[in-house]
Amino acid sequence: MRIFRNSLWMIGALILQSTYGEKLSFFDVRPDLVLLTLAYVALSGGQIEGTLFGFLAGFLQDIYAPEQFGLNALAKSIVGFAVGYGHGSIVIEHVWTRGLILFGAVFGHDVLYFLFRDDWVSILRTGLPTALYTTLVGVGLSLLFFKATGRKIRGYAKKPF
Amino acid sequence: MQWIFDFFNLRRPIVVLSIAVILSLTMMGLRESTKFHLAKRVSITLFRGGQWFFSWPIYLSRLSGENRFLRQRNMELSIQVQKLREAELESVRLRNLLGFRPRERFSYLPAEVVAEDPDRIINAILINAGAKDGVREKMPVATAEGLVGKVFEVFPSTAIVQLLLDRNCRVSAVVQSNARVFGIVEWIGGERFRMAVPLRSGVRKGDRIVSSGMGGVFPKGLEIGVVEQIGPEKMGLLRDLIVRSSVRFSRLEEVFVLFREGYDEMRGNVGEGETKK
Repeated sequence: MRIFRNSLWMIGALILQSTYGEKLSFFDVRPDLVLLTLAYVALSGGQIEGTLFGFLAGFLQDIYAPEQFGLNALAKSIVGFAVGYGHGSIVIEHVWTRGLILFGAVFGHDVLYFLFRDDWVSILRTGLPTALYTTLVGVGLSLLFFKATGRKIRGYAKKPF
Repeated sequence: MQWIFDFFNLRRPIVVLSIAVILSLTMMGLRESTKFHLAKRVSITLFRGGQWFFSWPIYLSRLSGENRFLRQRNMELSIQVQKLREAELESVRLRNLLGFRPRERFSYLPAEVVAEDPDRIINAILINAGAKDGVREKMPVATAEGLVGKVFEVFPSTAIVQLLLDRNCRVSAVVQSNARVFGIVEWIGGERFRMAVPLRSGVRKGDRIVSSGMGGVFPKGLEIGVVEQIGPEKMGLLRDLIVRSSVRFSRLEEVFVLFREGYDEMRGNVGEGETKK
């Protein structure tokens, strides 16, 4: 059930990103809705789910930009795996923790992506603003969502750190 | 042996990540042409799956209305066929008297349009008939209204059809009136074409333009459009006809791939100007 729900979230994010992504841009910076969803999926599903969803979402994006075929799949698989580590081991109730994870995911993805493209300048010029904007959107959305539904965020500490 | 299973069980996330990384790096290492080809194939497969998934409920809901319309249309066409059969027999008798060769016969393979412009390079549609159905490159594609285009690329169960609405798709045509003027029809934008004809050719507004059968790709007599406007003279020799397409390309749903009966077998299944793959 969770995989089905996460698949729907991911498909929705891919469609939104490719259709309305441009309209959400602010000073030419767009929030990465796919990574936002991937972070959510990886945190709720774990490393395997995060890696698989990351790979598939990246692969679908690669199809529409075949010049860098495989790069999105690679970067998103690694990000999905890394964020999935937080599943059941990090307390994500706190808004700053959530923001930090999301920021790390998006910035880490962009660092990997632009490093492979040998485009160091874009890491700071595009990666950093995108990570900040996506973090703001993600934190804002999750606050709104959980406030509206009154649900608790699924995140707990299994092991103390 | 057991330790391998234990390793995979314990390190499942690492194994999954390793597979994903290896696959991604392999994709990145592919040649440019292979990358584009693979991306195109996957996107077409996805298009087809998506189209099937989203269209079958709509298709079912439309079926009864379509059925009623088709029954009525069938009746009208049956009457028309009876009249045309008489005319055909008369034509055959007259052709025999004059010693003409019998005309080519065609069979029609119906196909649905599953995507528009999947190629992004040519103005094209994707149909759900492919090599498995006997479709090959350069086969003409038409609807009841007229000529649509020709098969551009064939996949196992789909094919890309290059429309007449493409600058690289030109058709040898003839004006279907007493004028019988020949010319080349080329797309000029929207659903309109241009055809250059001699200055004093006697073509009138409303005359029908049909394929001439010259060139070997498109059969003779398929309607292309109707003369909408007769342009001014060009260098004292020619004038342009503006032809409005008979086919509503923006509303294409079903098309027919035309098979020349006995013709392709005779040529070893290779169409004109193409090489066997």
